[in-house]
Amino acid sequence: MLIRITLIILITLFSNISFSQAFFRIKADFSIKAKGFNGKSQLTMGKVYYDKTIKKIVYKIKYPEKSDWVSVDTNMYHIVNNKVTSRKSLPAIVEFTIFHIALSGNLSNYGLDKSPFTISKVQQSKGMVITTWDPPQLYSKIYGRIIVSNKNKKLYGIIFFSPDGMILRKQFFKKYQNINGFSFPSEVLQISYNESKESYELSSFKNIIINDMNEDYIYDYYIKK
Amino acid sequence: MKKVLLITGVLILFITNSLFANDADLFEYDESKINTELNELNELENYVNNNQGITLSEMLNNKNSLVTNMALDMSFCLSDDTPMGIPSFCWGCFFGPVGVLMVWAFTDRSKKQTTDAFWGCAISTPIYVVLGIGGQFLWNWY
Repeated sequence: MLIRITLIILITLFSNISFSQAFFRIKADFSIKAKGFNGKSQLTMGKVYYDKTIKKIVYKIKYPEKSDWVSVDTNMYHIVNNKVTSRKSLPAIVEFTIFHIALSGNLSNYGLDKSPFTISKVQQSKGMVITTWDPPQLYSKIYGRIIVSNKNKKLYGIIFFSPDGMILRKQFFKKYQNINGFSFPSEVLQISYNESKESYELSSFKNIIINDMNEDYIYDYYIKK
Repeated sequence: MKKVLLITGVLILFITNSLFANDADLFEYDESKINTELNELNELENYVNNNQGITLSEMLNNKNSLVTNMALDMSFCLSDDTPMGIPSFCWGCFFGPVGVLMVWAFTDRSKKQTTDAFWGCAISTPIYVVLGIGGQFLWNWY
């Protein structure tokens, strides 16, 4: 009996370890449909590539215009015909993108357990487990609380607040796909708030491929400066 | 006594439920409103999928009503970050080689921005030289 229990524990442990290490690459067709506060619309379509060991997000854009976007650290490079045409600083690093967090197996709390935020409240309501994360005291004047909801143990929504308690944006993770044991939302909806105005951004992912061993040169995109 | 306990229990349940409901309600949104707002973009997406390789500029050239009737956000072409938001040309123009060096370092060695700063420096240097010589000449003359 003891041997059986030990075996079950060992199998569970090793399967967890192997699952957490198994997923390292994601490739997908994506589209981003956005309607801004000014009522203007934007459609972006293409393919996205990410390898969590290389930490470069590569967007091969086919629409509106053929070009590449590469996100490294806090920089986003716009590349046309292998030449960098512009560079922009980003507020977030690649480790806090959905691709990295999902591949690392931390999507259920959006990687907040690896951040300085701490849980202040957990509640269950309307079929959701809702967790409130508070920023560290030191940064409480810069960051507000974050509320995360899970449905069926999967991340459903995140709400970001300003330090004075105003809702800045909401994100919803919908239509999960299971690709060889890897769970990833087909749609991510973001609603941002600015005074009484709302802006929307719907990101869709399809033809998701995990651990693609082709196109290494795209995952490790060389940026010729 | 039983009644009081029962009422208190019901009240506590009601209060906690209503408190919990507040945060849960925050996760509700008007899906039909969002679908309506993004409807034009859904049509455009279908069109692009059915016409592989088509770009926005081609659609604009062809006066495709899907894009000509839409208020388009054309900000997909980013402008470079420059030190303190000041154009690279001005950095070169006012701070000379130091400005060029600052732009080179700050823009992560962006060729375009460094070239802009260099041109600022190249154009301003003769002006400074002429002003310097002219100033010296005027100083000596008076």
